[in-house]
Amino acid sequence: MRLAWISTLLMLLVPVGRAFAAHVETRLQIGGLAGFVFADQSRDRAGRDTSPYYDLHPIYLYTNVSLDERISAFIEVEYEHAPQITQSQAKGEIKIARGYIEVAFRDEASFRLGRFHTNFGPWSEYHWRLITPTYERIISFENQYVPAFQMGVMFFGKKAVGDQARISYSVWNSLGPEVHATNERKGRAMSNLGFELSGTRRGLTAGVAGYTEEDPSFGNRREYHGNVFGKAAKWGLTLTSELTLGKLGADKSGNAGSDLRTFHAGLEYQLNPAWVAYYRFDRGNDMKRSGRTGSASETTIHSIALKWLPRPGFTLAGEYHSLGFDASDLSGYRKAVVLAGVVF
Amino acid sequence: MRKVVLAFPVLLLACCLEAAAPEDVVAIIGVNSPLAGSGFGAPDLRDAYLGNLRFWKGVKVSPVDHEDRAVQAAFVEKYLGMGPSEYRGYWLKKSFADGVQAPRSAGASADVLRTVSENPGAIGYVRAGDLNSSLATLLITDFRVIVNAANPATSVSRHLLKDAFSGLASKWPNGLPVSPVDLPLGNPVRVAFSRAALAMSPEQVAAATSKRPDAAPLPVRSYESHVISSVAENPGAVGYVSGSVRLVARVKSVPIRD
Repeated sequence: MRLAWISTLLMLLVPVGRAFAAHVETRLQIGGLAGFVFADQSRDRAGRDTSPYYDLHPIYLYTNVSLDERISAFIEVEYEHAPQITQSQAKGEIKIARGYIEVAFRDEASFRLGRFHTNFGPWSEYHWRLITPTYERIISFENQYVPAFQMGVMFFGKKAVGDQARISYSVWNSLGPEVHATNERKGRAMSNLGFELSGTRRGLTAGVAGYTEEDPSFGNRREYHGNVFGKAAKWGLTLTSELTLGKLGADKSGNAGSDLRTFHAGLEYQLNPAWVAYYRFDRGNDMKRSGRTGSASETTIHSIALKWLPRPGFTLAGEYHSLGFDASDLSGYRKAVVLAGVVF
Repeated sequence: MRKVVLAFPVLLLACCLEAAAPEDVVAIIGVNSPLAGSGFGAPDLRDAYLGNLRFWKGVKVSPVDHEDRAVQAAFVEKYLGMGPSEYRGYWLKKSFADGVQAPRSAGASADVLRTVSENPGAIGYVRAGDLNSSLATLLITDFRVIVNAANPATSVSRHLLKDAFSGLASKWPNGLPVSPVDLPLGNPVRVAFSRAALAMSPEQVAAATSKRPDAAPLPVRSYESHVISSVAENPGAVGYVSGSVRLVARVKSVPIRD
């Protein structure tokens, strides 16, 4: 496996070397996002009182260098939990969130090498809260349905199928050791194979996606994940929905993992160019919010948001979330969030 | 002072009227661009400007923006179906989330023309009046369907067009035999017509026609003026030409209905 890694690295470095050796036009792009969050929760899941809190939204700065028409490099630095702002005792943390080289031979065949998000399905859109529909994330993203990012190499591409459909695919391999993601994913190494098929006709988009993954840190446990999604847009209204299912094989102790299932449907209404109203219904087994692994409680979330977007990149949002759990020993709660941010 | 006060709302109105006047913009490529006649259509143009299409038949597609915000706004509305703020907001997110660079600003019309003429895969847009035909040509061409003025038809169905240009014998609802007149394969007007009116590429239309043993080869005219002449001479003829071409009295344009 180490030989395969070295070979892949060398193959990718050859065109990079050529780009530097030749006289090519390079192009640099710099940007990022930053924000501020205030949240007030009625109580926690155990029924205890909570205090409102405010925090910096993590600050992201990125640079994207296009070395030539096929090769680019991307680096993103994240700073979160600023000690001057948060009420917690956090010390502040700076890390490289993403850093990779991409070689695009054509749209059907590209490589990424480095640290990056898995390029799979519509899930990846839910990572940065400032540019997602709500600060409160969908259940599938917050749990072990989706691997977030890792050191690895990925072959990916997309191809038109007919005039109005497209298939995208990726093969991703990683040896870790560092995996950053939500619950249950730290310290794992994995490989996966994924695809997504989607099509649009008369304002309707529908698609299916799936991936399978082998997890060496759980005795080569095999996971299967499937996803069905749709989107319809008309008269300023946009309806989106997504059903995500996962089946986990037995871990190294022989214990079968529990099945995963989550669904959400959102309705967005563009009141005018500067104002957006949004509602979303979420339901699924939610390990993070219920604080349980293995037998997570079914969780239902209703989210309402009103966003003011005075100019591109600026956002001020007010959100209200109502969370409920099927488990009788867990207490539902309400949460209000005010979020201000800028993308530049 | 009073005149100044009275003049202010008039000037304001004039400014508003000027700002509201839409720009007539056209998408362009270099005269020697490999994209010409390659079937690169309006959906591909949209995908390219939204960062979802980077290569076309092995050629790196490099869309560039115009520095004039009014021209850019007219382009994104006409070709991408978005508002200017929506376009800028889209790219702020896209650049960050997907690591894709937004189209670079090439400058004014002269710079855009020079950029597309010097770079094989470059796509740009300029005001229609700024187009210099020695450097650039239209990428997506507007077209209109034309029939003989004596034909009582006031519209033409998409179904009839498909049958006619696929080489199948067909008649107008009034009984006149349909006589389609085509432009050469690779002509951008034919590409635009095939994709928009027939929902097929010219090559697909030609392949479908060649598979039918009963299909007669369609008459092909090298120039749009010849298409107009052919349609003017035949009461059952149907053809298509650029939206900007002047028609003669014996020819009329008709809308397509579904």
